[in-house]
Amino acid sequence: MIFFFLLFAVVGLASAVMVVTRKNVMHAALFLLLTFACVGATYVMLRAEMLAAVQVLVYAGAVMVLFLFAILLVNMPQAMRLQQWTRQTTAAVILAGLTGLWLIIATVRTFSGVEAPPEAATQSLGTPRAIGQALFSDYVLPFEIASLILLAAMVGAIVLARQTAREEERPDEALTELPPDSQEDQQPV
Amino acid sequence: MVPLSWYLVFGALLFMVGVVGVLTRRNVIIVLMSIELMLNAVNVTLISFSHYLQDLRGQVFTLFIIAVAASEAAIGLALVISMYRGKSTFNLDEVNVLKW
Repeated sequence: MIFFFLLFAVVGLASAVMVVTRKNVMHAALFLLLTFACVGATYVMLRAEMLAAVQVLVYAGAVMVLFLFAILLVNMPQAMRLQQWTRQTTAAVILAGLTGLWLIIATVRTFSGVEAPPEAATQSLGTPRAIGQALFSDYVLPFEIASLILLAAMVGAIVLARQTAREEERPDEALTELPPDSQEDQQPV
Repeated sequence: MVPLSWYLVFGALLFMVGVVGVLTRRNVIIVLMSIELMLNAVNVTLISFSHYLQDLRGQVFTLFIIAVAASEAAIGLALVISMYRGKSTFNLDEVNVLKW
């Protein structure tokens, strides 16, 4: 168990570092996929099989496909030529390192003695049945709000895409709409 | 058995890597990927607490976080493509129309 945890944690963290440091966006996206897979594996070790399946479906499936679409739609060589790092890189690394160190010290000192209860190893807490019952009894309102958020995101993404499409169509509109305007302008004269 | 603090340290380190990515990279797609890394770190922390306290609430919260993360990725990438069509750049430092 400890061996598998260390394996997935080390591979996940190493690929997360690769996501942040790679120059090529496509390589970063593929390392991000590896990180998502390792995080999903830790969910399985925590007996959250339902959420591991959701992680693979939503993150490794839908979100990764979105990222790959976005990367393929834009000009990769231009993105690789630009300056990769901001000016505050060293300060940001030091700040994030200190914050992470503080988090690690705080969590280790607070939760070092916590052990899982004995029944945790044998029975699975997050079965689809249990999560479904919780979602439709205690968490109905957040569930509906989440569906509203997804609807708003869908509408927002379509609106953003339509705006850009309209900008591209503008030359055609100008061509088709100009002749009637010019005729109307000419009639009074 | 793996102690709880190991999972929490894993989550904290993952979050730290995401913070470094958001603060240091100029490529907007990599900044979005780092945000996803940070959300994943939070999910790891919530699920480990859910397992060690034998409480389902952490997993339900994780489900909502995944839903919000998916919509955030969709909106963010639509904005990236819109930004690329408008200014034909990836560089976050060049997108400063709101800066004065």
